[in-house]
Amino acid sequence: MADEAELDEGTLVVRAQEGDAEAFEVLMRRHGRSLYTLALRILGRPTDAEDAVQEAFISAWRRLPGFRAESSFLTWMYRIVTNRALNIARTRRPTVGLDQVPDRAIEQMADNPERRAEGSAALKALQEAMTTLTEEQRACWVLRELHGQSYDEIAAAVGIGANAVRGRIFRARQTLAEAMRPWT
Amino acid sequence: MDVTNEAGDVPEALRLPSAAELLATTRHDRTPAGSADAEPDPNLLPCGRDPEAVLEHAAAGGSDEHERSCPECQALLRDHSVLDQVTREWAELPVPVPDDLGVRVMRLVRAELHTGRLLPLGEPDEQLTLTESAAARTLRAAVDAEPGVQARSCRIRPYENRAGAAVPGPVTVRLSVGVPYGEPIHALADRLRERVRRAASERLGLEVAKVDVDVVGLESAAGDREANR
Repeated sequence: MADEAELDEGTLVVRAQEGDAEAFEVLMRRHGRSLYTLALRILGRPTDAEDAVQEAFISAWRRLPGFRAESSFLTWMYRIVTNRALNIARTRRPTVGLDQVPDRAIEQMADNPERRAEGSAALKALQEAMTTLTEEQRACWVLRELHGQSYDEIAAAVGIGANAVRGRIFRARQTLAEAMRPWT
Repeated sequence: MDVTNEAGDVPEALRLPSAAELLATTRHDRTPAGSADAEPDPNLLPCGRDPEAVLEHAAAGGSDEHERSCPECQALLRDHSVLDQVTREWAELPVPVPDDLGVRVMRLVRAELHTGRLLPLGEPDEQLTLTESAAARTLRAAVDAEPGVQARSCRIRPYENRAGAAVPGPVTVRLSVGVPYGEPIHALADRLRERVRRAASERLGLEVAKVDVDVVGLESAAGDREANR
């Protein structure tokens, strides 16, 4: 059992809590993609997403000794990343415009001949419609629809009640669905 | 109409309504106010139906006659169906992650290592110390060498003189290990004690007075059984 990448999650968390940076690095590599993806989907801009994830991991390293493992490490990290992403979204809000949302994923998809053109255009329209949502609506919708988190998990991540989460998601879905009208 | 309870008290706000309660309070029967000059509710469809209820009924396969034939209700359902489809497409779209993100994070993490306490080494007047986290890393590696075993917590308590000060001398190790369920624990614990003593002596120059071993069932094993010693 020499390869740290093979260790189970609980083992890695305990080691990282006791100051083992290598164990923390394995956790980061295991979950970094999901967390960066979450931040990018909430924020839209790769540089903002990198900032959110970087700040979240540093914050997690500092707070790990107090992590009681009542949720999974990934759920705990979702909370921290969401919190950092919302802070960044609030402070940088005025600079985000409708047509200033570079998304390398979209460009990549446009290059993929197997994707139908309507598909990528509809997705681009969806991502543009995302910028008309409030930060909280966006975070709630992304956590629910793209990352499969429960209402209670989202409530903890966003810092609002579960009923409020439900309302945010419903309104977000209404706004986004209306933007899909040209593709029906 | 507001479906949330944003100003409500916290316990109530945290409670999700059950499906039965949702159905009991569905607003699909609510029509725009009777008087001709009343403003139409912007949250309702032009036909007067509540979009949330229309969607719920369709998802449950329980659309009524109006919902099946009304162009507004049908348009709503089509919009949401396309949204669901495009959402799935987005969820499956691979996201390019910056290559150096992990490297930058780890540089910052290592810059603020919480190394834990210091363990005095060598002779009393030599003032040599080793950090607990570095020593724990060596001992965990020795434990990991036992097939199937994962070292979890590893706390090392320095020897203390009569005044309670940490001084060079035999240390006490408290170890928790994850093992596959069904492993005979006593023989395993003895082997792990031997591995810890040898690694401490040969690689760290530390004498070990005592090794306590807590055994925890690995998550992949049936149940999270815990046994001591």
